[in-house]
Amino acid sequence: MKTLSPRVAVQLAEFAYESLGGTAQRPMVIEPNRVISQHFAFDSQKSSLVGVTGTVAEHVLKHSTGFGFFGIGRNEGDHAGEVVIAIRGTAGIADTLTDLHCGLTVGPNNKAVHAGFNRTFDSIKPQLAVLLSKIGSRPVHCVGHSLGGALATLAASWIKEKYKIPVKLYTFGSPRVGHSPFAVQAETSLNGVYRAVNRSDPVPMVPVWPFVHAGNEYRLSTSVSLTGAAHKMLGDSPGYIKTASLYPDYTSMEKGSLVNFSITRLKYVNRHHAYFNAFWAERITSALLTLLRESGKISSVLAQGAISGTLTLYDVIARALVEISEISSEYAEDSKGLIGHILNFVGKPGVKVVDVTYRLAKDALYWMLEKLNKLVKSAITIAPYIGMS
Amino acid sequence: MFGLFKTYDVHMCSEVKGVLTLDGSPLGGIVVNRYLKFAYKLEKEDQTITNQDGSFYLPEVKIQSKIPGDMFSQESTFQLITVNYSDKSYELWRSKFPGLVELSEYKKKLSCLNGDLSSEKVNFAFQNDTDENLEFSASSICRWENDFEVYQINDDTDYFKDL
Repeated sequence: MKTLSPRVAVQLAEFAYESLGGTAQRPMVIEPNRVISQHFAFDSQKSSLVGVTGTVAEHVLKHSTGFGFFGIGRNEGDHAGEVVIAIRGTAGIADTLTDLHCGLTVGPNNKAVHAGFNRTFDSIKPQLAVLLSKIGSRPVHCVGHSLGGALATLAASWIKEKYKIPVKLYTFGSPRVGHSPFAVQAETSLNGVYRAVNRSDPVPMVPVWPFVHAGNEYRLSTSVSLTGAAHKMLGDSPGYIKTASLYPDYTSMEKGSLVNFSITRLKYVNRHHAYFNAFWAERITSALLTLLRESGKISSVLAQGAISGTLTLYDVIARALVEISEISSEYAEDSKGLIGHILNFVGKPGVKVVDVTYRLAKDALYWMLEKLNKLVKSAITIAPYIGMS
Repeated sequence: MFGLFKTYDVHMCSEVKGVLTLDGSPLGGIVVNRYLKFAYKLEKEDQTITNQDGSFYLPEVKIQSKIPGDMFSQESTFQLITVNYSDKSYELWRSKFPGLVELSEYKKKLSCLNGDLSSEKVNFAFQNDTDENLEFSASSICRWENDFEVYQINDDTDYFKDL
């Protein structure tokens, strides 16, 4: 099974949105452009993937039309006989993404995943099951943008687990789907994970750690200033279609660093260097993980907070930072440096850190979550929770 | 952050000029329908009637919308221009127009939408002047002299017969 070229993959991810198109009066004509149709055939009757009515998917995806398409590789194309499943995103994702109370549930490969994404996936699963039972053992490419990327990730690992056929996954601007065990399993079991991001797109940065991505990050554009427009497929700010089409194959793209495994210490005196962008979001996460790991707190933090949702988890992290500061003066400096950088990241450089207190650590972490969420969905604010203890 | 409150200019379709014929003779008095849908949500429809010489005209469609402020919206306009003639529908233009701003490539095509009802509908690609990696595509019964690359991918295999 040959890997899709980024150009074909991104066109398929965009094409999936056309499943929104049809109405009873004006039925949709499935007419993919030349880039797609050179390689894949679609059938106007059979290619639509339509959710079951009355389910979560119908509610979240706001559809009575469809959530995507599947196509079959043409004999003369690069993917003869293989199946492609393209799933679309939706504006309805914003609530799910920024829901800090959302917990975990058991995902398709028996590892913990985001409960909101999994609920949506569960209601499109019956339709995929019908399809998979018919296609036999053909290799499958799963493609999606935004929520479509999260659903494609769940679909890919479910198909792999259940049908044991070759599966490759291609996402653009996908949010994070699960914690580390899910990501590791998806990465190792699938026959390829091609996760493309515009670095200025905030959506791939949420939900925040302990949610992590599966697979290497392929960076289509490297500007680090975070902007909502960078999540879009079309247009030139920078636009996933435009950036992905520049590359003949995935191997020619820049790969992101494995932030989860690097060691980062932030000195309090340097805190003013930090400001709100993708680079510092990564540095701060990396510094937080370094501190939690080296102090041995990481497993107890995860054990206490992971199941109950992001807000509770970051409350546990705030307490852990206070405890870490009390272990040694070195850790106290590291914690202070971390909080100082977060305060600058969220645009509150005037708040001084003397000692790492629970109150300050909690406020700083909440401000950080709030700032990221504000960008992901401008309307939502978690401010009312800050007074909560 | 304040993007949700801002209103954007959205170009949905260039002005349309063309001539309708049947086997070479002009068709007058025929209704031309234009259907536009922006971001899979916002619909616009208008009509005109062809003159005795078969010519017709539809103005540019431009609207104001808040949709582009939403980072999760997909900004393209589905464009469909059809005529009905003796109980059959013919497509003069079907395309997905990307973005918010008028493109000269689309404008050129739509300013000479000359179709003969006896012609077959074809898929074709036309040049994107600003990004050579991203060609435009449309389908139509009309024909153009320049920048009009018909493509046919119909092979005879029925890939879906067992599904």
